[in-house]
Amino acid sequence: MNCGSSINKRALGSLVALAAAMALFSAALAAQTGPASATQTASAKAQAANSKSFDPHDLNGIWVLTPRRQMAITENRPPLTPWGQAKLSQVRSSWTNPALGIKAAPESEWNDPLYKCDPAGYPRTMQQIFGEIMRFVQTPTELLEFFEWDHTWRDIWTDGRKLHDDPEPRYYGYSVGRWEADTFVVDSNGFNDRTWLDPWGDVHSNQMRLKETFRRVDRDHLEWSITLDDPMTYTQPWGPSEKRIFQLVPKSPRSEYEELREDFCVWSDSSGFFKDADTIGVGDAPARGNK
Amino acid sequence: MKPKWACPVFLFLGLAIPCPPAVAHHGAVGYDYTVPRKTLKGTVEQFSWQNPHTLLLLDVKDDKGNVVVWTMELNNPGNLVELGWNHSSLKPGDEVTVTFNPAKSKPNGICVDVMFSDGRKLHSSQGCVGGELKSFDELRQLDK
Repeated sequence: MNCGSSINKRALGSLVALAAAMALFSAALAAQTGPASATQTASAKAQAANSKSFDPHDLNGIWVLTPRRQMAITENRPPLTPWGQAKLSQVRSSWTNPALGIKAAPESEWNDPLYKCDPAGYPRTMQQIFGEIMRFVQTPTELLEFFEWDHTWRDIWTDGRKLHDDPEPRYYGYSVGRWEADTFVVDSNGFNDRTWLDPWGDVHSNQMRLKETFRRVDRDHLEWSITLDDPMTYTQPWGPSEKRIFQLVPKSPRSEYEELREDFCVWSDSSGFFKDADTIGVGDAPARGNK
Repeated sequence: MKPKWACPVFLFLGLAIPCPPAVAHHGAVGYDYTVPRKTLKGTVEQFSWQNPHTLLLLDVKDDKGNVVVWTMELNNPGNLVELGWNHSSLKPGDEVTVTFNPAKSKPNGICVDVMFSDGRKLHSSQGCVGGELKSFDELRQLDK
């Protein structure tokens, strides 16, 4: 018992000594490396925050153009063909853009298709301030791009199919996409010629082809660029555009809910607006007067 | 701090970001920005949460006691959400005071501030000239 007690005391003493040594060693280590370690930890955290384990091939999410604005492909429009000149001469925009040489027309002449609630079409929906909010949803065979305005979408096929040689003309065209390293490349054709390219009224034909690139530069930011090729309207390709930056957001800032907003132009509402708010007689009916 | 793009200027479809000279779905020539903003107290008759612009129809008694319906042109719903509104911000029967830029010849208003009896305020930036007066003047010249 005594012997055992002696051994236990010696063992206890050794443990205490070992613990004290470890404590001293730890303290010394902390004194030597503490600040550097803290810096390294902060740096690592920052790196982790920046990378946030994003997959560059994962484009899912709601994206908002930053800063929000409306745009032309670039403000250096290529020379127009005679056909393009004739078509642009018919445009009566409500906007002025000196760089594009477009001056707002008198209100009574405006012929913006959107004022009749026509579909914005592509790429105008992305270059118009109500279209700067969109959502990507990836499936095994396609990337779906949903637009807040018109509450509509386009299919970007990723299953290896090719563009049609003579596609049906439509507002949002026909698109195929592929990955080139970490850049998603989209080729499109099959657009009708009923839409404007931008709010100023730049025109295109049904021969328009688009090439776009999307690249997720970090977890929260997506880079987008667009080039237009329409030999019927322009003598050379237009673009590439500047790289526009979209930011990942949990919801549309314009929605009351955690999703894209349902944002339609409804002609019955619009005509009602003209009826009730028209102040100069451009609308369908005079404003309401006295009861 | 309000984001830069939220600065109220006069824009297409009532959207509120700074941008090149712009007008809304319809022009601004019907409004008179040369006179002081007007303040009226009235009763909400209708609040239409709709594109291209939300409308507030307000019953206001004039000096003779006759009820005049004033039509307030607000931003579109999406922009109003960003400004703190929602689809039920106003209900028929609500007593509110509105301050706005009046139309030249009709009971219409734009760039509207709404004050509730409990002191709450809501602002619609639709039609507010903000820092874009030069651009706005250009447009007014254009329409003359």
